[in-house]
Amino acid sequence: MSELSSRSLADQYRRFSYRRYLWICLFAATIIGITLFNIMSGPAGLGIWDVLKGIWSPDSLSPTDRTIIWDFRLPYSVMAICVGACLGLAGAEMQTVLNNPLASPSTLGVLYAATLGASIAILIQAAPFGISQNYIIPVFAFLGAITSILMLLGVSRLFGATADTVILFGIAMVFALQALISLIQFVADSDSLQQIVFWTMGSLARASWEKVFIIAAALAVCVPFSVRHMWKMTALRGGEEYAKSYGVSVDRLRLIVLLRVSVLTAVAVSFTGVIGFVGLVGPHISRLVFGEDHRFYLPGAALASAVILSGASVLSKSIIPGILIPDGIVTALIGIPLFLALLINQKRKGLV
Amino acid sequence: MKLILKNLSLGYGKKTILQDISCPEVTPGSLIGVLGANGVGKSSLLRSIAGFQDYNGEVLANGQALQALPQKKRSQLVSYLPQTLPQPTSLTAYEAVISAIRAVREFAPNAEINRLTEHVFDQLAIRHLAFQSLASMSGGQRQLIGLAQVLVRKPELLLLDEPTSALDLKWQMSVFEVVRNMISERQGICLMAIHDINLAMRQCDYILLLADGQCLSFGAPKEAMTAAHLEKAYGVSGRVEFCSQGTPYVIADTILHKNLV
Repeated sequence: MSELSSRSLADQYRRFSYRRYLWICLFAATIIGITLFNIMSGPAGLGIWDVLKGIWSPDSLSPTDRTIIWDFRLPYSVMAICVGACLGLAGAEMQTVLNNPLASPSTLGVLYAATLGASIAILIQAAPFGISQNYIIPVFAFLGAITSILMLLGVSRLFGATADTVILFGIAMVFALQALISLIQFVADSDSLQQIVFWTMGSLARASWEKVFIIAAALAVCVPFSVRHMWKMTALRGGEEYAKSYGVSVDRLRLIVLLRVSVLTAVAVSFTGVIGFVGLVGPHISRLVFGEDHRFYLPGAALASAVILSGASVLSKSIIPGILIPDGIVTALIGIPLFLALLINQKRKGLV
Repeated sequence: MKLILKNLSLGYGKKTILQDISCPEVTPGSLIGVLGANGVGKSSLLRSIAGFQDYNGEVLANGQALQALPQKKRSQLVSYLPQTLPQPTSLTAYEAVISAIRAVREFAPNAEINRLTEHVFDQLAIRHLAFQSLASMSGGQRQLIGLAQVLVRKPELLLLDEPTSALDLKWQMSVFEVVRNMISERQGICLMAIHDINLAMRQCDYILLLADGQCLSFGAPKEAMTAAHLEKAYGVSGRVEFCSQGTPYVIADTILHKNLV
């Protein structure tokens, strides 16, 4: 002890956080491993060397293998990483600014608003200027998600942007949106109904490089702002009054973060449909491993969520060979027990 | 630091909480204890000076109206310790204390941060807690971390809302010692809401006694706290006596009005 305390605190902290950098590397390595496995698995089995060779020099492959890797499996795997990272980052920031371990993109109704938008597009078979439905549905989903956040911002301007107001309004919105979605399903014809139901199950199956780039771009725009607010969010973990006392405009911070979260969520789910629980579980895993210093917690949540969704995407094609089970179903099925285990574990430690 | 309160009044809706609280200028380096019954507005007074609550009247710090300063600037001058303890999160004490500085000064040089944190952990003698999470600490330990977060920013005006409520005797004395060092070093002023009358009488330079939303008395402890004031502020009959070394202390005898709200 005396030997320890003779060192400066900064020095001790460096040693203390060493372990965290190792964990970050471990997460990153896991993602790479799962992604390789993800590319290997599928109806047409590929060996690890084929995959590595194919990624390194696409020209050395047979045209069939090249199409399988570059047009289907690679965008599918990378999309899982990007969507996971978006949802994880969004969930982590939400849990911080709303000071609630149950906050996630689905808590505020953002996911359901996106679903409502998509359902409307499917129901009215919107195809303005002859644009394909494949593009119109994500646009409607995005509009739905953004509208829900704008309403939320309006309400919090009216009644004050406290965490409780936002959560309560979010829950009210979830129920209202679910009712509206049911209404649309009720009036929809059987074709549209099937399409809407498939959308609510959430799937990465329609992945393409174009979509991957759009999601990655959203991530690239949002991350610098997250970095800018890192310390403010860390300070907020001690309590709202404390953060205010240090000069943080907590209400403004909360509004900006929620806006960012809505963009991340809307972009991520507009192409995939409802993928729940990733944005809820990822932050909890990160908190367990990295604590709540947001320099570690935010990247940790993004990485952990990317691991979960990548893993789920492998499972979704391996549970029943030849059939792609929607990823939203798999994430919910593995997410719920994981979430309960984490919650009970944290409860035991007195964290929640 | 010069601090003057001029006719500070505030309320919630139509209900008045504080009316015309004034406080003359005191010498820099003074520790002012804010005393009064539960719900009399001690916390409201501190919160309004900290800028968390709107009020009428003026608070002048170094001749400048605090209300007119932007939040960021005010927060460099003033530091407020809320009555609630820091949340039991998985943040370590060290990270929590650094975040108190970096929250608004993200790019503060590492050397400065290291010096300030090192100093505050040594002063409060809490180095052993540095790498424990707040969730694993007792209430008293978290209170000390909260205090470290407030002190590390080296404010000129310290507003502490019951900083010793969860602490044992030794730590209570330690907190007063640290606060005393801090304000004499910075030539600052500390306003402290506190319930322990005897602790306040022993440690504070001045006492601001609130009753019925007004300032009942202000002055040196033995002048501000008399048997008559004790009766008026708390509804308790008691005596102010002096120990063998001349320090005043209060002995409460009976409750006067049981139905006093």
